[in-house]
Amino acid sequence: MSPSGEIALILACLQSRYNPGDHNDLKASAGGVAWAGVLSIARRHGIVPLVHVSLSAGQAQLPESVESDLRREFHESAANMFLHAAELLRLLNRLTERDIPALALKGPALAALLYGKLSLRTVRDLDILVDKNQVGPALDILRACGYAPVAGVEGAGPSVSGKLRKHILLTHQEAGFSVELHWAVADPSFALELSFEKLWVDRQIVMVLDQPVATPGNEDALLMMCAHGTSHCWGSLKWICDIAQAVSVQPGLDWSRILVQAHGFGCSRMLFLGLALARELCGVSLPEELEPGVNSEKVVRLSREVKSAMFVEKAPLVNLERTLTFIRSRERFRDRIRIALRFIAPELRPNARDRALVRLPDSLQFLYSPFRLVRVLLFCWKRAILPILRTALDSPRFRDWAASPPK
Amino acid sequence: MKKSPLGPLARKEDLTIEDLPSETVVYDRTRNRMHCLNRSTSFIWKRCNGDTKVEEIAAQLPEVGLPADLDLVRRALKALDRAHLLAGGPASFDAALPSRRQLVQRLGLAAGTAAALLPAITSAVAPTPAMAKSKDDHDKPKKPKKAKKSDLRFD
Repeated sequence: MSPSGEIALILACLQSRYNPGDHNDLKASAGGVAWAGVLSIARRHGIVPLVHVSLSAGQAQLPESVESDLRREFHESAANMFLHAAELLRLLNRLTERDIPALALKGPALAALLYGKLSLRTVRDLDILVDKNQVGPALDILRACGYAPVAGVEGAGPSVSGKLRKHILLTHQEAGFSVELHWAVADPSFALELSFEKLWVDRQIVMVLDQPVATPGNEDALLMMCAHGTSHCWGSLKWICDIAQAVSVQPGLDWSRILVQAHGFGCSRMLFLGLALARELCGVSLPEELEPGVNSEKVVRLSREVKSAMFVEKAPLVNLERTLTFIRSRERFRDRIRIALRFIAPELRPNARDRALVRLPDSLQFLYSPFRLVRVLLFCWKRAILPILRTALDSPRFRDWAASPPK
Repeated sequence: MKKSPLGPLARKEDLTIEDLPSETVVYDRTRNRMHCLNRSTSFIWKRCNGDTKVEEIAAQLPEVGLPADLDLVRRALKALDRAHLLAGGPASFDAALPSRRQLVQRLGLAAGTAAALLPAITSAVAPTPAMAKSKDDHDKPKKPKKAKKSDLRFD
């Protein structure tokens, strides 16, 4: 990957956080870039505060208008974070009053934990994790606080809707805050079974606006960050910065415990991928014991793909592409099969679109199933198999093999 | 009003303070208001310990690249007081303070550097997501609704 000037500057900003000597690179990168592009990338990846702070610390010469835009956006982002932090405290206090144990995920709690400053991270919604058995009472409390489930899921909960598999989204009816009330850290199809009980036992307390907030322990939080990044196919640099920050500011991380836990959950590859991206994009140093995993062939290949797709503006990934990424991020065969089956089962059911494409008489309705199968196979061929074949044919390994095939 | 007999006193209660390389972000938890203090204001605010006189603070201003001018400190204190960042009730900093332009001229600062050097506070009440959304909707030209992309899901 040969990054454009704008991307190079963004990466120099991130890397200067962990290698203060790189401020000279920052100044060099800042020359002649298209600043609108820099701002646009920073916005899209949720890292305006980090870019603003790095550029200020590096004393890069910015055009006045760019500096003022960046500063304004940083102020807006910081004000938004403080507002969300205050709302998080309000909700957690209500839950605590009713003896509902709750963990704050991501958002203000993660900002306080990793950066020590709320203003350095952006936030869009609040994530609260409760035990599955407490979802009903927690929903009642959130309703009393002015929240309602988003249209279409009114009254829904994990016990009444099979569609909602890990959280319910609520919005505040007046202020517009969004809250995701979780009862699992990942969708069941993602096959990551970090239970609330375990997270609660290993929780830690972090101070948010001078109030204690319970959040997962450092080791669990790192695994969750890697799983979250993977579940979104690493579409945002913000998640990679979080991992880099965790590695950098938490020297006491119990790596042997993290590795054992990741192995137990079958998510070692996801963990190594997150760490590899943090090292390569943010320039953070990793402990030696992680080198074999981070440098493994499959992780290197996945990381290369993520990096090449990261700065390309394209249509959101379709389910199949996401599922393939999930499958390739896992090392255990059983997890891969589980993810594949979760994806395939609903996709093979004939739907209204199939019926609209071909109208069959009642006596031939059974043909919709094979018709659907053909459509899915064609789609898979076009969107997954062909691109993989093209990538394989372009790979140096294949070219070497083609040049001198084994005898 | 508990004012130190010697010098101004910074408020500490119900504030979340975050120091950054070029500014200090202060969140007032009681008023739900955020203030960003630029370097010189932050420098002055941190010296408001009740024991340091205004004149002594002014004498330290060259550390942030500003001349040791009493009016600079007075202007910063007035802004800090207005932002409720000084302890005690409203203080009187009105005694014929020169305007920002007068200060720039008197101190011989270049227009570009003056903006960065002179004490300044940016205050903001965070808009709730609903307010921000309605502002965005109002600002943006209305686009025709796009047809739902068929490739977001398999169907």
